[in-house]
Amino acid sequence: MKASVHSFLFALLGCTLFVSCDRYDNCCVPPPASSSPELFIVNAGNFGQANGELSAYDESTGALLNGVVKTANSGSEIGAGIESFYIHEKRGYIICNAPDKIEVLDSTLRFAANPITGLITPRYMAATGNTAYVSCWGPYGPNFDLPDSYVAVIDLNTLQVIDTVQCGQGPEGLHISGDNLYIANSFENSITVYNAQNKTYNSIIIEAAPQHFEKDDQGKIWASITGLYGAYPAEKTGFAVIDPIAETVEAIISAPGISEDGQMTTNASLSMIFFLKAEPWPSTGTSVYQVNTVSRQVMPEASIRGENFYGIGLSKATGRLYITDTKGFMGNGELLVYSPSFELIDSKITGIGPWNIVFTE
Amino acid sequence: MDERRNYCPFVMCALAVFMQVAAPTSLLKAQISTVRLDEVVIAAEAWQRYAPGSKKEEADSLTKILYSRSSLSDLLLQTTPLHLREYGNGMLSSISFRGTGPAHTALLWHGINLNSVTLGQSDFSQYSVFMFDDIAVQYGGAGSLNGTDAVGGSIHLLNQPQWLRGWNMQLQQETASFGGYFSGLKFQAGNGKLESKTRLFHRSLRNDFPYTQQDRLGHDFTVRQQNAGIRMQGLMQELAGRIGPNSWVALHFWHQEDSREIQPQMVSSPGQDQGGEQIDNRNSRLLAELHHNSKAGYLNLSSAYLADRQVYNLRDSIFTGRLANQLSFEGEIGLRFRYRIGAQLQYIEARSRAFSGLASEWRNDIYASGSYQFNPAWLITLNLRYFSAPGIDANPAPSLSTSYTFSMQEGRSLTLRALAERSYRIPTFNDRYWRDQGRIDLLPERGFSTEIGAHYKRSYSKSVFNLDLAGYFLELEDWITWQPSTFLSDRNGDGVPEQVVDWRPYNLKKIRGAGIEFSGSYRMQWRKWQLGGTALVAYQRSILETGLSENDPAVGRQLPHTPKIRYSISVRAGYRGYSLDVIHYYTGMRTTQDVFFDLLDDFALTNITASKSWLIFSQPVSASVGIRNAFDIAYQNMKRYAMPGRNYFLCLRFDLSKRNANDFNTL
Repeated sequence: MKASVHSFLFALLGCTLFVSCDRYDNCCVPPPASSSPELFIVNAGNFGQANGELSAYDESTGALLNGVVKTANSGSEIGAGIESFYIHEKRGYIICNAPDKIEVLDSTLRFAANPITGLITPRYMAATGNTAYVSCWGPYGPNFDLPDSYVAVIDLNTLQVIDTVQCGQGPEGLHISGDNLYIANSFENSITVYNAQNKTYNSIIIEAAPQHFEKDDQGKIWASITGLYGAYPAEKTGFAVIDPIAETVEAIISAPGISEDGQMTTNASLSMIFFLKAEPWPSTGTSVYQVNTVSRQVMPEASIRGENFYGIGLSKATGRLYITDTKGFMGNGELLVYSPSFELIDSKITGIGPWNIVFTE
Repeated sequence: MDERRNYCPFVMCALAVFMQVAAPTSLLKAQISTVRLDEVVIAAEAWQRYAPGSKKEEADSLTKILYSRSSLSDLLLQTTPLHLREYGNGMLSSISFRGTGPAHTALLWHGINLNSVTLGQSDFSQYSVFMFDDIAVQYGGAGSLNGTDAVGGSIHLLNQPQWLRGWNMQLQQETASFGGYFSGLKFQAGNGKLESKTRLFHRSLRNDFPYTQQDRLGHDFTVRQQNAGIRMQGLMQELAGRIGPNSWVALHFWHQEDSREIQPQMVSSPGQDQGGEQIDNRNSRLLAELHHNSKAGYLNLSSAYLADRQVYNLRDSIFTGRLANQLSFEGEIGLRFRYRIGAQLQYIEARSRAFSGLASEWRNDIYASGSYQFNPAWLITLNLRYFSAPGIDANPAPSLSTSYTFSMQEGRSLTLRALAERSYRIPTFNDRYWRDQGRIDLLPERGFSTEIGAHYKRSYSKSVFNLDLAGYFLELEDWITWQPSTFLSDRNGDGVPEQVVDWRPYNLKKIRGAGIEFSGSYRMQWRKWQLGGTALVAYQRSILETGLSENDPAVGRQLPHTPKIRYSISVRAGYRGYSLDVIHYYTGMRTTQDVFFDLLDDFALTNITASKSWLIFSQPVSASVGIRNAFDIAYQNMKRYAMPGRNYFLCLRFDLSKRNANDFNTL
């Protein structure tokens, strides 16, 4: 009897020792902070988990720091998923979902007193002067359509929504050219052109779903146009080249297999656009392709091949190409760094679901 | 890995030879002379008889009383080393058994798997302890006995007739902090041949507890949780009747409804909008059983229909219906060999927009078990199950299990046990039929586990001492994971498949786990005191062996949301109708999906309950007051889901009974 009591007490003591040894070795020490990151990686986070964050990469040292917003704010988190990040006049704007808000950061990444709220499913931002535009999907309709989509107009001095701009369903990328705001209506096959001066609208119809915009060296606006998950035939997807004066489509550059999100980036001279393709079924591969904005020819061969490529960005300073690998949005992703000759020169582990790459230039 | 698998049969055979030689012949003769019965009488469930090598725990009667107002989630989290992932207070609670995922535990009610056929897992907060007579935990893979999902372990829920003569009734009423109420009624009546049991409960919780959060500028602020209310009610009606000296039938009807606001994540600033989503469940289950004992053997025939409906935000609904028929026969050959053969035939259908209307399939299992009693001390069993489903050819799931008991002297025994098991998980309906993304060609997930354990028991006239130690190795491959991909589909409906990009399930991941589990308990009677204590500790590693891609950085790391250490210590003291229960349980640190940079704090919580029982007109009445989270620990089980601080409850319980004087059955 006495022996068994002792055994039991010994066992209890053993439990205590066992537990006191719990030091979780799973998390590594964050890399040293970068003093002047050239680019930010938007880690979208898991759906509904509110764990979006930014990572910062310093091109000169090759150091990547994860969770930079949390670090800069003494542990306070963004507390949302992130859709995109936009930098304008020394301030950063994190466009968040779940909850829907825009967190405003100063140049040291500290939060502004209050986020911008009152938006429904904000997506992307573009700004000029003290005015910002944010594409918003609005509430879902009964058939998972987006009949009440809009673009919010925000006064960047007061950080208040002051107006809305009408658009088609599912506005995604925005582009400002003079007084015109180009809105990619990704749930349909149209681009809305809004003249902020005259408050007039024009609509450009295409044959696929527009996603994002880039400007080429001749001032033309390139819109990536995708298949909307099979709704439009593959041969209609690629790029729509828009004449910003006539506000019409000047050419369609076919690029079957262009990734559904239409992510793209330009080189420093704006003569080349880099974009992502998902390889034909049954392959699960993704690859980087180029299209020459002068000849308007898509290079026949992929520059880089891999899996789960999602975001793409090109450093105008070094010519390095940056690609994010989301790892299927199931865990930590990876930033891949390629030399101008497309050699893999670095890779770094990021937060969850890295997608957009934003340069501080 | 393959080498390790190959060693297992060898080790088992070597163990077998040793045990055969070591078995005392006299004991074997004694066993043979005393165990033979005229008819095969089955007193235990198949998972108890044919898995001598696996660790099992059953909630004792005092624990069931203590947790009778609680959910199954609370019971398991506080009294077992299992980890449950709680997405808020009283919200979705999914299990992680031995480091596996929520879909790798079979939740069985009379052997029928209750896991959702669309999601493949159960929400353990939906089940009230009040509704069950027995709750047992079976550790480790048990696919050969329990079928699909029993990879990390199995939870068994049981209600059996007690052939009561007379009647008894139990009434419970609890009121708790944050608008918590529980009302329960049990009524049982019988004449020894016919028995009726009725259970009714209602539970509601406003769930508006306060929590403190740091805003984005680093300032603390306190808000009240909003939009997290719960309301649930259930009815279980059971009828059992003897239809002969060796036969009985039973009918179980169980209907439950719950409506829950989905607790939103913690706000980042005061005044931030807090959620507003809602989920409603309605579950109806009907089970008919026939049990027949004869000289030839024991026959069990059962048929069940389960209808589950879930509605999200009062708009999106999904319905699943399951018809599960099972036939098993158990007999003996000679004095030492017992066998069981059976088959299960299930028809499952699901209706949802996601399945383009209706999806349905048949699933078939056949199984056989054999146990050989080499001597009174040594039992060895072999189980085999073949399962099939559309697109899945018949697959075997074998297991080999053994135990050896050293009866050292009166009241003292040591049991050694070992188990090698192959388990499996059939892809869910979502995996197989979700729009054009589901894949009928998915493979079942395959598990393999081995386990060794020892149980020491020492009984005295007024005390009992138990120690159990188990070590296991577990491997799971072809873990189904959804990820974005490109595939061909005719979404336009024009007959021409187009290349589309969307999420699809794949057999991708592989994990390898190992762990040690310890449990010890001691109960004693000293004068008019009843004293007892229990300690449970689990240490588990669950490592991603193969990731989503060749260069998945998470490979080699502990799985997210999976603590390495959990423990629970409980102490109970009773004196002249007074009792005090203290439970202290700990959950170790764990990562979120971000296994590199995001670590959730560990937490240890303490619950204290004081009770007093009286006899009023010879009928027992008891009152309990309790404190949950007594030290007001701020914690999150899942990231950004607030949990309540210190909170209180008061419970009254009345027991009324009238029993036949000759009846000695357990109430």
